[in-house]
Amino acid sequence: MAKPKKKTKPKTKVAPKAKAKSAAKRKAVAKVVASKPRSKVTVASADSGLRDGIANLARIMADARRDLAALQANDMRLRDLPGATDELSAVVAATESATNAILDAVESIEKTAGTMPADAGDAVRVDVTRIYEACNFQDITGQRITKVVNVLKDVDRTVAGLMEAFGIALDPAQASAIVSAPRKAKGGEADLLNGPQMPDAAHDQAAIDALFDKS
Amino acid sequence: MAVDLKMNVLIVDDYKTMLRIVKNLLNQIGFSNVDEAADGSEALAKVQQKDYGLIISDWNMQPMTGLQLLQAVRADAKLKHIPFIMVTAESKTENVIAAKQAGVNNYIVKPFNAAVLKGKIATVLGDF
Repeated sequence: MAKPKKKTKPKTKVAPKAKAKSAAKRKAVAKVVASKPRSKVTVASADSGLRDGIANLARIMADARRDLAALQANDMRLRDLPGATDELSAVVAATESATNAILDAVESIEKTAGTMPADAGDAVRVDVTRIYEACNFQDITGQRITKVVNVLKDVDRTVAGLMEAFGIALDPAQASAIVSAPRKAKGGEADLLNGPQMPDAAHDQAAIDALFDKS
Repeated sequence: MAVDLKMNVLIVDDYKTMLRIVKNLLNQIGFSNVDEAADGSEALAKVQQKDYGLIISDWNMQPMTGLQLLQAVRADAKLKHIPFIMVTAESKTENVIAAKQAGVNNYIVKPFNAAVLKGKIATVLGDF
C-alpha cells in the first residue's frame, strides 16, 4: 500500500534582512546555552526540595490527624451534630405550632370583630392584619434554620470523609457506645443546665408533679 | 375594570402558616374563593381541573418549585393566560430576572405586608 504523502508545511517567504537577523539571534542563544555548565547540583537541589516538600506534607497530615482525633470528631459526628440539627428542627416545629396557635386566636378575634359596632370592628381588624403580617416570621425563620441545618449536614459529611481518609472512623459498635455514653461532666451546676429537652425526652408537667411529690 | 372578587384564587406554599396568613389577607381584601396547594405539582393538578383567575405562589418548594409551576403554566395553552404572582424570600436580582423571563406578572418579597399584597394584586388584575 502506498504511503500517504507527508504534508509539508507551506514555506513562507522571509525577507533576506529578517532571515539574517533571526540567524544571528539563534547563534547568540546557542552561545549562552553552551557556556552554562550542566551542573549536577541543580538536579540534586531539586531532589532535596521535593523530599523536603513531601516530608512537610507528611508532617501536616500527621498534625491534622492528631488534631482531628483531639477534636473528638467521632463525638462531634455521632452525637453533637445530630443533636444540633434535632434542636434546630425542634425550633422550627415549636415556632410553627406557636404561630398556628396565634392564628387560631386571631381568626377568632377577627370573627368577633364582625359582630362589633363598625368603628370598633374596623379598629380590631387593623390590628388583626398587623398580627397576620407579623406571623410572616415563621416562614422566614424556618427557611433560615433549614439553611443552617443543611450547612451542619455538609460539615458532617466533610468530617466523615476526613476521618475515613485518616483511618479514624469507627465500627458500628464503637459508634453506638459513643452515642449512648453519658456526657462528660463539667462539674457543679453546669451539669444541671442543659436547656430545653427534646419533646420525646422531656418530662411533661404531670411527670414533674409526680417526681416532685415523690421526692 | 374592577376586580372580580368571586374569581378562584390559588395560593401555593409549603408552609401551612403562610397559606393561612395569605388566605386570611385575601379574605380581608374581599376574595372569597381561595384554594390552597402545598407545592407546584399539587397546584398544577388543581389549575388543570378548575378555572383560576390568579395564582399566588412561593418559589422554594419540593418536589416542584414555584418557578417550575410558572413555566408549566406558561407552557400550557389553556393555562398560560392566568396571572401569576411570586411571593418568596428569594430576593436576589437573578431570581427576579429568572421569574420575569418565565413570565411572572409580579414579584413580592417575604416578609410582606397586606398593603403590598393588595397593591401588587391591583397592578396585575386592576383596581378594586
